[in-house]
Amino acid sequence: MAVKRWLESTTRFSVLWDVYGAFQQTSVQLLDGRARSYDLAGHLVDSDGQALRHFYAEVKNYRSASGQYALYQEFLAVSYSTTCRNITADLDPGTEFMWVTWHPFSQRRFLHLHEPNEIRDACARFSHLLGGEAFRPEVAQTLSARLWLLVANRRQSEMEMSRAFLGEVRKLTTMELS
Amino acid sequence: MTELTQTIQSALAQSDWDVAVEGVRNAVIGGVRRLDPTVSVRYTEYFNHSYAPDLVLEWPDDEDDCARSRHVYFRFEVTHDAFAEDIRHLRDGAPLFLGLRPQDEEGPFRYRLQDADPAERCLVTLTEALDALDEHAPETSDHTLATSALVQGGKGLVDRQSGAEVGDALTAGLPALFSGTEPDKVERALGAVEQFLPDDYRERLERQFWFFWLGSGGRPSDLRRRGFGLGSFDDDELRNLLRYVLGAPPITDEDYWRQLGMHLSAHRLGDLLGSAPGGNNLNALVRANLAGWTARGAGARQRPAVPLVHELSWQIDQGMLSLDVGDLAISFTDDRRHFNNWSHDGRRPRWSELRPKLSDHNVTQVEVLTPENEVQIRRREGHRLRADSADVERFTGSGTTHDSVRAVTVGVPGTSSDAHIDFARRVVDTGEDNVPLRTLALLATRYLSGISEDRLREVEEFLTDGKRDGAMAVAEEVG
Repeated sequence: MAVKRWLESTTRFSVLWDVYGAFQQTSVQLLDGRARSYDLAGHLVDSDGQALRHFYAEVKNYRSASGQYALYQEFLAVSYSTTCRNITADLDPGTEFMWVTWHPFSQRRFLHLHEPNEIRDACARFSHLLGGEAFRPEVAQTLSARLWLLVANRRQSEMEMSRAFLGEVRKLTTMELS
Repeated sequence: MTELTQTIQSALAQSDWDVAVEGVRNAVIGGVRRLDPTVSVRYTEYFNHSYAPDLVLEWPDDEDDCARSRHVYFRFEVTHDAFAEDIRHLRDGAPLFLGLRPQDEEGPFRYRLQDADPAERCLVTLTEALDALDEHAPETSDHTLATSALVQGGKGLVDRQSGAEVGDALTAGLPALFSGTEPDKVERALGAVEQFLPDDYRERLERQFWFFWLGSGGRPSDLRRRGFGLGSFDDDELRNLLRYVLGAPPITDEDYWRQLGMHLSAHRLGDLLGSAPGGNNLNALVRANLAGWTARGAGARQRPAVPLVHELSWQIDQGMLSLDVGDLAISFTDDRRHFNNWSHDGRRPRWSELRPKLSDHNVTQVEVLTPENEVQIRRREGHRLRADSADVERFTGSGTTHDSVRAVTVGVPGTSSDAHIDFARRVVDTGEDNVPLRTLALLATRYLSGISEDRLREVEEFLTDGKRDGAMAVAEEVG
């Protein structure tokens, strides 16, 4: 809930779904035909408030770096597999993927964790998620540009809008309704 | 899983997000409208958003024409203690938080509302609880009387069990309310709903229950809530109640009408309703209160149309309670200004016609018009003016056909008041004294209607319900 509130308070994300409430909507299809669920799903919002591309987010409420990198690699492999399947099966919907954690990890290469090489290494480690298909560097390049890697702060809630400002935003959102 | 929850789960199983959102939204809107048909629902472009509501519910406000509104937030988890934080952020305006998941998945509430919402005006509930509110409602019973109050102003944590308890109490209590019977069931239904209502909505609902209880023939004394009673009804509420109850199927409980009549008078009844056709219930209301109600004046006027088969009845006409006696309507009021503009074309009787009616009657004054004079004969202090007084005969007994009586003043039987009977205006006026309505009605009918003795007897029986009791004795005294 904290991550959802944080993202939505920017007005540039709308987090419609969470895995506990609607796992169907947070699930994606992989190349091997199986479904995997993220923690959150929603869409990006443009500066005029119009809904843009879908995104899926994995949220790790960790207090240490321990074991996160392996989980992050699995996240990359799942995201790659999904992107590959989307591009193959349909018109590319441009879906984006987000990793949110409360603790940074792999700090020496933290700024490179979204790069195609990391995606390639993750796919090699979790190759079973690719359904036997060969790795495609151009898809990794595409996915690299669609990744978000966010580190949340333990005092994140103190950065949220006050109830008074929320009320003003609500007025804007309810002024012209369907 | 209840119908609404089932529909929502089916919608959430859709792979297309837009289809899923629309399915959930439409299901909830349908559910809300079922509980409160008066609501207008608008939806935002958001779904399950942190601070933008999913729905805005609106109702017209009778008092200032401004719409009252309530925001609705859809949520996938409302029972977990972490949800209290969500309430703290959004509690302003007392919104409604609606959990979309089944209660079995959610589990029981694990926080207290007052910890997140000190004013305790928010309503946190689940779709299964909404369904349970009217799950077993019989088609003949309108649960929305109570459930609409919950939608508009409900507060607290309402889970499936609470919703079912309210729903069951309403299923038992509302048929009792609408039949004016079994007040204990009505009390239980009211109590079940009221625990989830803030004070202002509780009072409004109690008034509505009170209204329908009375409107259905329930005795006022059987349903007592916080000392609340008809006396606290404002004019609009009382007017609505009267219109409702007078149009209802016949209510034969005389005690019911007597209790209702304790908060009314002949004058106020006419004042409130302005006009209303006659009927069994109006007749019953007036008949039960004839002995208790009073008036200061009565006036008779010609009715524009008279049915071939005429039945004596009461009606409300031109802001006055009126007795319909064939081609005449005799109206009663405390405000004699009603008669100010009445014409003076009433027939003035000759003394010889009037005298038998006045014989043995306490006449205090007679005004006679002869071709030559206008004569006023008054009782001398300490004496009685008899109808066959030689003084009167001197002016009226000459046999000329032109003599006529313009007015007489007689004592009102059973009171110390006098009634001035003006034949030209066809008005009986008791001055500043209120006299019993029954007595005044008998007096006015006898002297203003010009009907036959047989017909007069019918009127007397109608006014006394055929009972030769004390009231009949008064009738005979007038006669």
